[in-house]
Amino acid sequence: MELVCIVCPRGCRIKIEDGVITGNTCKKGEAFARSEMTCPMRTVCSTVRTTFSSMPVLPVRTQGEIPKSEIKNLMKEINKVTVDKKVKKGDIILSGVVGTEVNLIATESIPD
Amino acid sequence: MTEHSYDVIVIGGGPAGLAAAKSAKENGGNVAIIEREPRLGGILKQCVHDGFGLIRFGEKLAGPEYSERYIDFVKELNIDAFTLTFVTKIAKEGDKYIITAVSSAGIEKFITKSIVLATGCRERTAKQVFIQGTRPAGVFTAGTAQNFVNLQGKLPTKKCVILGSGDIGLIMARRLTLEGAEVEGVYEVKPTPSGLTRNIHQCLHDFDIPLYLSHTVTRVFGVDRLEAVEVAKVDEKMNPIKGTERKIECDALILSVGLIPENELAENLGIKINGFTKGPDCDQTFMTSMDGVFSCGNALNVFDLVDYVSECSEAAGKNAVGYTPSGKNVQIKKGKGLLSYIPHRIDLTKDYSKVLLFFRAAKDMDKAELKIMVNGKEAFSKKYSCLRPPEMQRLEMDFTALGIKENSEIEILVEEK
Amino acid sequence: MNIKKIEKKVHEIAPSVKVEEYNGCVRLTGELDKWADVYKCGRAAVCKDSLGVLNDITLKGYTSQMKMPSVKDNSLDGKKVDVLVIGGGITGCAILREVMRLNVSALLVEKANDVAMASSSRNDGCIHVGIDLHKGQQKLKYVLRGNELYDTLKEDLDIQFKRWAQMVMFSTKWEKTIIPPLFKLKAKMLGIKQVEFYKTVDVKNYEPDPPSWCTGAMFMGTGGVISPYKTTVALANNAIENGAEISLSTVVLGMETKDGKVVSVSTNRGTVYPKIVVNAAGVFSDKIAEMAGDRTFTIHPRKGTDIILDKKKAGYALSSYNRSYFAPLPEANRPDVTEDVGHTKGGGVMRTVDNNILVGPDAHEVPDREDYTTNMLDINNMLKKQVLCAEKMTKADVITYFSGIRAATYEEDFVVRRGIFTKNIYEAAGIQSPGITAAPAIAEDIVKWIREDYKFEDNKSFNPKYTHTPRLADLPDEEREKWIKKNAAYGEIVCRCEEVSKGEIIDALEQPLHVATVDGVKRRVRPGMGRCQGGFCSPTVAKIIAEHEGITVEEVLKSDGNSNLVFGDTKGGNDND
Repeated sequence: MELVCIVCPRGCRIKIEDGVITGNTCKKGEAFARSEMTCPMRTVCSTVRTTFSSMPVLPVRTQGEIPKSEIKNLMKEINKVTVDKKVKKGDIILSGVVGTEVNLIATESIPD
Repeated sequence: MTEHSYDVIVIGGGPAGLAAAKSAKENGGNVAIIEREPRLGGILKQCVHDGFGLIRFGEKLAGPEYSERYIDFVKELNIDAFTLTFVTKIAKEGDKYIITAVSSAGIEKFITKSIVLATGCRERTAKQVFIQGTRPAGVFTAGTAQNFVNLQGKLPTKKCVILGSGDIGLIMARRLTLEGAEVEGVYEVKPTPSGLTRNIHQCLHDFDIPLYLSHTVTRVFGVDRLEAVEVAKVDEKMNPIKGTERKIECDALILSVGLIPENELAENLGIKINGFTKGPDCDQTFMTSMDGVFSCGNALNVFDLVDYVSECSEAAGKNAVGYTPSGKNVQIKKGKGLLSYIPHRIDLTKDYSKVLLFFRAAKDMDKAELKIMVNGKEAFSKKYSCLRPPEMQRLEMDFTALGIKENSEIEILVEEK
Repeated sequence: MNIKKIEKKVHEIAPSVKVEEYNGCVRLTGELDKWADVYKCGRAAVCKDSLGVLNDITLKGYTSQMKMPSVKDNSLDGKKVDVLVIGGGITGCAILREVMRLNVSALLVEKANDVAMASSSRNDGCIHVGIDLHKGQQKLKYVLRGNELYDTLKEDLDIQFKRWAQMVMFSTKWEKTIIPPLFKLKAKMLGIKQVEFYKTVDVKNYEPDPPSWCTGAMFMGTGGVISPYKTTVALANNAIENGAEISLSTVVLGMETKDGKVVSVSTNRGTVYPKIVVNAAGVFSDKIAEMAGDRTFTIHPRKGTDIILDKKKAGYALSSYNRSYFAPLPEANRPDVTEDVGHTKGGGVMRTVDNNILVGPDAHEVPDREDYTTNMLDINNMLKKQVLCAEKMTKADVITYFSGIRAATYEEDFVVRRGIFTKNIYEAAGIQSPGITAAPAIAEDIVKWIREDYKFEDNKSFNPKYTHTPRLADLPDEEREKWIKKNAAYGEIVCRCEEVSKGEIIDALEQPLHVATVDGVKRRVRPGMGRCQGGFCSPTVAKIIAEHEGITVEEVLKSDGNSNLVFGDTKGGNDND
């Protein structure tokens, strides 16, 4: 199996043959390849609705990775949120999304 | 008319301008930022995806997160930022520059010793890639679509075709899919993708969005709103091949067909523009052909990583404080295998022991070697296992080790092994 | 009229066509496979002693269609007016404004949701000299008079009008010896002033960067340029200020005539009862004339494409100039073969009032009256040919291009007259190039006739002056600051390429003729006209429109019909509320 590492912009082309991983240039790449074979994980970025006209949607992301297969379900959870408080960058918007322990955090502060 | 006086004026409050202002201040300059939009942050405000800051902060941040870190630096350093202020002209008077700007307060004049141009870039439009047919609503550049989706929370399409595999196009393919739109496919006129490989993987493959290489959109249909596009295969000269046309019903065409550095202010000042980067010609301090005017970020050269934008901008900002006028310049000639590079010259009267060198290869190469030739002889070389045009390379180099003299000829090239 | 002779000429092209005399016109009927043949038959049927050609030959497999407004209501139903003007192009709007000098009630109907949506926004704004015209042509009379009138219009309507010259440049020695006397003679015959031969050195004094091959030029100093759409809008606004009414998105569907008079005009917004009808319906003017029973002509749509260059390249041209067509084009600049017939118009390069360079236009006979599509072949051909004029031009200079349709008759002349078969109609039809130049003069004549025929009194309160916010980017700093002190929104720049402020956009939305579309604002005050083509500002412009109009961004239209920019909220719409 061949895949492209998405850990960093370098985009190493990794080969996996009989469980042997080659082509990676760092440890993170090896870990990525292993997880890609078993349970691919992704960070998801999106926006959530707010009640503020200065920023009608607030950018958010998952603080860690969630299973790729759960992205659709995550979007369903994200789409239900409406932020009505002036949150700051890093504030938790949803804790423990799609049954994981990963939080959804704001990636920008709503301006005053 | 209000008058302000500064050592350094940074034009543009995006990632480049923020980094330049930060470092100018840290290096003792009295600095201000002029930003045309209501908020600082530039285009990163709408880049809600992650991947920013791996090099700079060792973290994978979303665009707004990355820019907010710099905005916080700027705030902590008490740097003046004039938002909703638009520069209309720059004039040189003696060894000072007078910048005229318009804001809701009226006309403002900024008198400054040096200027950092951090004006970013704009997107190539549908007409600039000669899309034909009608002129309906629904033809957007990826950045415009991104503005609607990520800043206004509005959906510009329910089913679209994306032309061009530039990074913003790939990012928007994923983003629109997440918001419930259908992306029929991404079409790229070149035989290789324009965007980063990781984006092809995580934006297209993850969502089963097909990528059609050597294809283009030949025609747009629909009078009021776009109703369909025609795509076709192209030959080696990128001309559509007759008989390969296919009509796709959709409501939008989204374009990610290249970025152009915005240098109208520089051009009006008479600053020399480099034909390859489309940004100002610059030396190793990021000073343009005009003493005291510096250029950085995407206005200088379209980067693919914001981390490098910050790095070069911090250098430009630092150098702009009490700058050294142009001295003995040795041009760096562009040799084979290269698409673009910076700097374009080395000023021997300034420090050239730690030169930030950025370059892009002209084509995909496995096992390549970067060479710097001085007077026809190889003075430096570096091996690369793989070079690709979308991936800009960066290295810090000691040019003093190359034995360069005022009358030396320097050439930079890439060879495929 | 020798109908047999005409029949013979037509049958040489298409023997199946029926040729007959009808109401003093030559009428052609039948069905043909090629549009080129339909056109050629029409041309062959032109005859001096007929009233005109009625070319009713249909094209096999093609049904003529007209873009219809999406609204339907009764807002005009039962309305009685003295004057109904059909068509909101520059001709219709000039007539509407002119007729307000009389004590009348007037209504203009336009099927699009703005004025100047067809040929009046799809042309180069050139104010013609008239040198290419001939004695006896209506075109000549109206061009000469219209050209004169623009000096007054500029003052009255606060429009941009530049008397930038026109030049025909010579590439050979023999042209500059032989041609100038001919030009001068013709100018004298037609009464055109300021037609002079310019030596290369004179050309260089006028033109910043003339082509290297230029051996001299015919200089025509009475040429000029306006913004055709801004002028049309100014005419419309001034008409409204003087009491006229404009109903947009209103299409004429039929007319009821009785005793040689139009009694009522039915539209998608109800039936109107006018005393007088003015036909200024552009590419559809023959259809309107037909409805009124006054048709003596046929419109054959002639498409032209123009290319717009970045204003950074304004140095390519100041005058409107072209290469003299007496010497053959170099091989490399000749167009790639197309199958089109019709007038192979020269085209050239010129500078617009907003400092963009225009390249073109070309000319192609097409069946569709609203075929505004562009294609690569035409663009390439024009660039290939006109790079002779603007020698430094490259493809990277192009910011956009557009097509328009000329409302040409087979006689290739305007049809400006009183009704022949219908008493209360006035025709301002078949207005193609140089219609922008002619429009004010056509309006003058039509209104003169209306005054004579109906003895209307003068409107003593008519005010010919219309003013609007100046283009602030062009003002000196002190002046500009005064405006900003009055309204801070004038200091908030929305469009970076054209330096347009939020205040100017809001002013555009508050003009007498209310049009709240992105393109409407763009035509009035230019956000989105620059090199990024609205990439940066269109979302902001849409937001400003939405806020000003009290609508949502998804309700904001780019142009007409269902040209909405966005489809509603992300996050799955409002389903999750």
